[in-house]
Amino acid sequence: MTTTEWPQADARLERAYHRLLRTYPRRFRARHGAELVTTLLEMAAPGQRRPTRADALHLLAGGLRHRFRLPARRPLALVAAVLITLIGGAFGAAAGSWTATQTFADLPQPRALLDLAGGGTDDWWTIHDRSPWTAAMTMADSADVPHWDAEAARRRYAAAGWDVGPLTDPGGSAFTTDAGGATVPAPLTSYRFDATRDGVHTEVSGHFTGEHGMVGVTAWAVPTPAHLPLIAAGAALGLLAGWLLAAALTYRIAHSARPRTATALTAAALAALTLPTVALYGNVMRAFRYAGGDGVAFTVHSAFNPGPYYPFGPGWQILAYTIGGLLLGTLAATVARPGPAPQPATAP
Amino acid sequence: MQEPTFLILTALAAQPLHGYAIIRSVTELSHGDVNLRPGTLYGALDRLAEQGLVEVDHEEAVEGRLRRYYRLSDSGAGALAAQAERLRRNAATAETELGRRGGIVPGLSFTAGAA
Repeated sequence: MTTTEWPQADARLERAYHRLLRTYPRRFRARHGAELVTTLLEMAAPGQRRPTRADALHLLAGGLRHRFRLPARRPLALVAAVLITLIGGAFGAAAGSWTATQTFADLPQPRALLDLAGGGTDDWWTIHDRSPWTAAMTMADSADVPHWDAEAARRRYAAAGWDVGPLTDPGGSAFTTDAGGATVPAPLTSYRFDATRDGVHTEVSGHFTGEHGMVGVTAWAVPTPAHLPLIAAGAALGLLAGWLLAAALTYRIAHSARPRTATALTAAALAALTLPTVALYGNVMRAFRYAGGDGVAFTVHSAFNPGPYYPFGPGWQILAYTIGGLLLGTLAATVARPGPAPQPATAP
Repeated sequence: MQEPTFLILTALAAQPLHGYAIIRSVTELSHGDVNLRPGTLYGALDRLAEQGLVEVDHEEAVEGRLRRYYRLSDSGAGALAAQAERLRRNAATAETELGRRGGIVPGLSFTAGAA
């Protein structure tokens, strides 16, 4: 074959074909880009200046399909791809959940809620609870309150614009010691009402034995309608991104100069990410199962909060395993730098 | 093995060919039934090279244009022969079964009951 048989094509057509090839993974373009464009130009009609619509669609679809493809005859690549996809779904759901909580109302100062309830004494404490299962809650309790009028507290909340619920008796029991040192039940009076304003739900309660007792408030943000849809959308995007990442990584490892090291590092990364992934899916399940109630929202990303998510290991282990797994995965991708080309290099 | 793959391997059975020549050869071999698009062809060649069924024979490059000639590997020849045998067996089975059908079968080269 001589050079006179090479296709003479319009430069615009050639550029357009190169642009369309960008939907293909870089590996494929480097390997087949030049010969694919040559063939397209050989098949082009004389004087053709732009790709036909059918050719363009076919190249776009072909490129996208390639990005989802895994290396042939590598069962480990398939196993890794399934796991990476699942991990992607879990982290995507966490990202969706975090985004959703940005639409939640900010929590008010607990002391202000306690003061409004009439429980503001010098002896009080507060907890800002960052649970590994739910969105944040803020609590404040006031001890040794001499007298408390629950109905007056409820009216103050209503006057401050809160949508208040009825006063109820949550029940409970109290004990004291008698003169002989024995533990005996003490008469207990309990009150509780719920109040909602500007996306914040507050539970106000008081427990009294005789003339003394304690008043407490617990507040949390009411989940917005975006909560579950964002978790679902995050999971779907995460699954998709996970598969694309897996396809790119497995090809990279397959053509790497150090495939064994890269495979071992990938396996270690997947092992490290197992515990966080299971925790995140557990939270996804809770978020959907317990949705719709008055209580605090179950969130997915809260699994990263230090706490007793698992009944074993330190409280920070989920975050630590996540960071470790992501570092190992990055290292695997770095180690899997493309090795020397197995065949002659293509034209640029 | 899908038909385009079978035809690509068949096109490369006798001699190494570059992409456009493979496309033309596949069209001829299939009597115009299969017209491969370049994207499909190179996707298939990439996969077949991964599986070790085809290999690069040589390349010609001029001013950014590249023709890469592919040849059937020994493993590819074995896979093609096995598929050809499978197709022959299946075709024979189909003809035998059609022969038992009774009456005239359009397109069949013998009439039922002739056996």
